[in-house]
Amino acid sequence: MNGLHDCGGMQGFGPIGHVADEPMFHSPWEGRVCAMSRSVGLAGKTRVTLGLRWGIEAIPAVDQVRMTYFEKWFASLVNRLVECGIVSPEEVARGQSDPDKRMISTPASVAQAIRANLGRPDGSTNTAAKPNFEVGDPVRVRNINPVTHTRCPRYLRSRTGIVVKHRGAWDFPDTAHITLAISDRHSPLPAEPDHVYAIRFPAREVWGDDAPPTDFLYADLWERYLERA
Amino acid sequence: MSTSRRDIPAGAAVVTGASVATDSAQAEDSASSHDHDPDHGHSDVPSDMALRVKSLESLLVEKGVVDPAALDAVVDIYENKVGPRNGSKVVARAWIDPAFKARLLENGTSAINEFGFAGWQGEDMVVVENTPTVHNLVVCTLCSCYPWPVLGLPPTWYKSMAYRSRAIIDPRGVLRDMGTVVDEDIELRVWDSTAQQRYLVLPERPDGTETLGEAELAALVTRDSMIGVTRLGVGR
Repeated sequence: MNGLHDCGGMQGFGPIGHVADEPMFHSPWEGRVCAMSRSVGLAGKTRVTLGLRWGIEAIPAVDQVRMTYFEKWFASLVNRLVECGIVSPEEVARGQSDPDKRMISTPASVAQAIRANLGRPDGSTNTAAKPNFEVGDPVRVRNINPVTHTRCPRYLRSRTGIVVKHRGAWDFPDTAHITLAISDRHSPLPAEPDHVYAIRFPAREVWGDDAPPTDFLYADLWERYLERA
Repeated sequence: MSTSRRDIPAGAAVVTGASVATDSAQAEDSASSHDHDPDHGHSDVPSDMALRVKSLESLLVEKGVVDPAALDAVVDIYENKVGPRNGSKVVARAWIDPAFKARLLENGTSAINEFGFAGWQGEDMVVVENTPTVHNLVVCTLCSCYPWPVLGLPPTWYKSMAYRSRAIIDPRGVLRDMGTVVDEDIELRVWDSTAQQRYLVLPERPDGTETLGEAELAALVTRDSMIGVTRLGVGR
């Protein structure tokens, strides 16, 4: 979606506000939001890929600007839990479960939570398809404007770069989130692995001749975003 | 905002905007919570957000979706177990051990795992090396992707639209604002974390550190130098 989150290259956001040090969580509730977001997908029967990023991107732009980082996480968490049928809006409003809908699942244990956050995760996945591009190939980013979640940033569309590394195959993010939006509740998402490549773009290709000739932008892009240049 | 949420009974505050958190009531809530809570919740009275989050947690516990003890463990991990000191150890080892450095640049995930560092947001670690002719800078323009196992949670400025929007179109300006001057003839590489790869910058070892041991070297390595917004022993 061409949303506000896709802000690469926009201007006018003001100073960066760099500070040398800050706490990981500025308030205890931020830690609880982070922990809940990391835990709900691990529960037994409710095992779903929530798509919390898509939930944040779907927040109206005017609200995104005003909300803090973890306020956006919370809004996304609530909305995705409702959309996935794990809680109802009425239950959220009351802060209490419907009596006949209690204990719908088994939560992740302490050990499972630690493993999910500090264990060595799965790396790239497998796909039968052979990669279509090789290191050194010139590729152009397709001019696409999906209304769903996508990891193809606007500022790179129609731009040409060079493949510098094959990253292996990873689940294609765009269709995963389409599927979630229309799928039956609680059904696992079908994985659609696709090859990912690191692409190197001269800054001048993206921003024009005012950009320094010594500057380069790199992005990791799924093969479906790319065409041969 | 003239009305403080503190005047509204807790139950009402929890109800407001809680079910559809993207409606305008939600925006009003967050805007007003900023007004009376500019430092993100250091007041004695629980903020509106604190109440709403607590309410959701109670609901999810009732439903058997989360276990409070497991949530405590997750908070403890991100407050105490991961952070830039992990990345500092990796960098210091790379400075003194050429074989480790070669492994680190070849396969960041497995080399970093030699320290036992792994986990969420570290599925595919890529380490990029600063040299006298190349400087690297890391950003996530689409959200806030960041190498949690080695740097912890991203700082607020890294997640800001100001940084995300500008780091790719005016990276040298961003660096200048951070007190970092990268000479014109040095190649600048900006890495946008658009997929599962997470980036750690291997900064240049500062001059005059030849006699220092691994632990002393690790103490010199800053979070910002591993994002690439600063250089060690130069500038700020």
